[in-house]
Amino acid sequence: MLKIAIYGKGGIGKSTMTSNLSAAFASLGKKVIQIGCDPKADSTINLLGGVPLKPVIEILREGGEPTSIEEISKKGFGDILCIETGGPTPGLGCAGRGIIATFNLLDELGLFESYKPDVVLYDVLGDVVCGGFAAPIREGYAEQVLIVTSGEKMALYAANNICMAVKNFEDRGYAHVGGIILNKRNVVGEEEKVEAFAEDKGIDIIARIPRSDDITRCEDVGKTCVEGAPESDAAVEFVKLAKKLLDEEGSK
Amino acid sequence: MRGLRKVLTPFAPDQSGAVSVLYNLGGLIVIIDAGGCTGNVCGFDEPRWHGARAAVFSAGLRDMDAILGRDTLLVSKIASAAERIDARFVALVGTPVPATIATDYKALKRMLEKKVDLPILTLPTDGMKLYDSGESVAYKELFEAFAGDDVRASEGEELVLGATPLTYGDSYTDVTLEDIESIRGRRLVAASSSGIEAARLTGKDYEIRSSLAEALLAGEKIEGKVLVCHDEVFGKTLRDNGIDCDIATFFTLHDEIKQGGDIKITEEDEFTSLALSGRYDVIIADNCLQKLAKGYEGRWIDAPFFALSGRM
Repeated sequence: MLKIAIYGKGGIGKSTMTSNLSAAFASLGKKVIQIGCDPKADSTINLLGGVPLKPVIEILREGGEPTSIEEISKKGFGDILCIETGGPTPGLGCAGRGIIATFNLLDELGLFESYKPDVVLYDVLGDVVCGGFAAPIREGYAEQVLIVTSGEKMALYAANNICMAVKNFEDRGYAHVGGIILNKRNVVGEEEKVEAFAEDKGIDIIARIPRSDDITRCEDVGKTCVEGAPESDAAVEFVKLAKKLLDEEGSK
Repeated sequence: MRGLRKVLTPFAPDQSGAVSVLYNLGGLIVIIDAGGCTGNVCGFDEPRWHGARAAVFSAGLRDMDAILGRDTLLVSKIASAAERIDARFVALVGTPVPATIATDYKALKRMLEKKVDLPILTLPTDGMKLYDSGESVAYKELFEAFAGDDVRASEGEELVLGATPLTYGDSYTDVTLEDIESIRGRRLVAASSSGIEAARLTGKDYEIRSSLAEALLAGEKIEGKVLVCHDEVFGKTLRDNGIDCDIATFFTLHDEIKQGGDIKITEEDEFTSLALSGRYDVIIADNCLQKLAKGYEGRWIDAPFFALSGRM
């Protein structure tokens, strides 16, 4: 089972990258789960035709006691099983705790054992800011972290923080950094800046996603570009990335 | 509010159950809390504390530990204590604090294993479940660390699981690490709800029987329809000995025990409704529950239940 957590600066395109990657895995015939770990609960919306999924915390808030995976998930494009953790009202409670509560529930429901996915993708809110947001990279969850960045200074700053956090967790058996996804914003000297960062950190740039109007157009109608514009340059890159990750997993 | 106690005091929580199983096994038990939960375990939920002290410590978490997630500091404190105490294992027992700040027990275990040459048991109890759940967690961890693969004749010596003071008061039965090492060759008796969970983990056949209920039967003549509110195995044992009873329990009620009139209850009012339903000639329960059954005119037989009332 390939288990990947996607991290990166807020607004850098993590949900876009994650759902397109999920769609790419599904288009290759893989059984995929995508778990959105963000209180905004919008990670999977473009796998579900633009219809938001009721998040787990919302179900628990209403007093629900889910006893099956079906009660907390929906299937989207390519039969991808979509789950959103959700979280508290902004400014209240503890979003990290919400992620932990959801993960505990997924464990209780035996998600991985019963569903037996080929690929699990965790789309994680922004930076590793507290224990809850590190939960997806703990032992038993994601085995590798993919960092989404552009060549913008603050995106690289966040990417650096994520690398340091993962390094700090080395002795705990957490996930390792598997590579960088360069989500191009077409800033000046973008590729050189990201290449320099990657070299400094000793990690690879495993995909370079072109800035593309196709992505925007597809998202406007609630789709990923892998679904809505499969011939587009961006979609081709996502499928290439999915194949590469599967090949690496297969060669282990 | 679900589970709110308006008349009774709160029942023993899962961390108390976990400690109850581990208490006499010679381990270094560290309760991950600020101090209050450890005080509650030792002062109220562990009658052995006043007679035979065990190495039960509080992690002594403070505000900055929670804010900064200083688990490296916790690991060094535990490693230092393990050097000074002749312990056979280290057990980390969770409470609401680590549950809230998302403490990673698997990571703590890995970090401790590098510093302490002892088995490390991690019990992610959270203070929001009841004692029987914590006992089950403790048995699972113990079995994973100590149960041997030595499968000898099933006619081996009897081993009673789940008879901790929280269910059995001063009639408890201790289990030793040697018992657990030889568990696959033993004849198992599940003496309570957690005993059933523990016995199931072994994959072996087991008998379900409560010596506490048998002792009560030896001293009482019981006639008529009975409501028993205690541990489920206590109720089953009465039934197996010919008592016509329904079981109502605040704790786990397994399908293998449950029959038509049996019920898992959460609210105090549920017990009141049952007690005053007019269906029962006899109620067998801890006397503390009489406060919930004002107006009941049948016979009441006291069955002390330490996890409910703190009475032996």
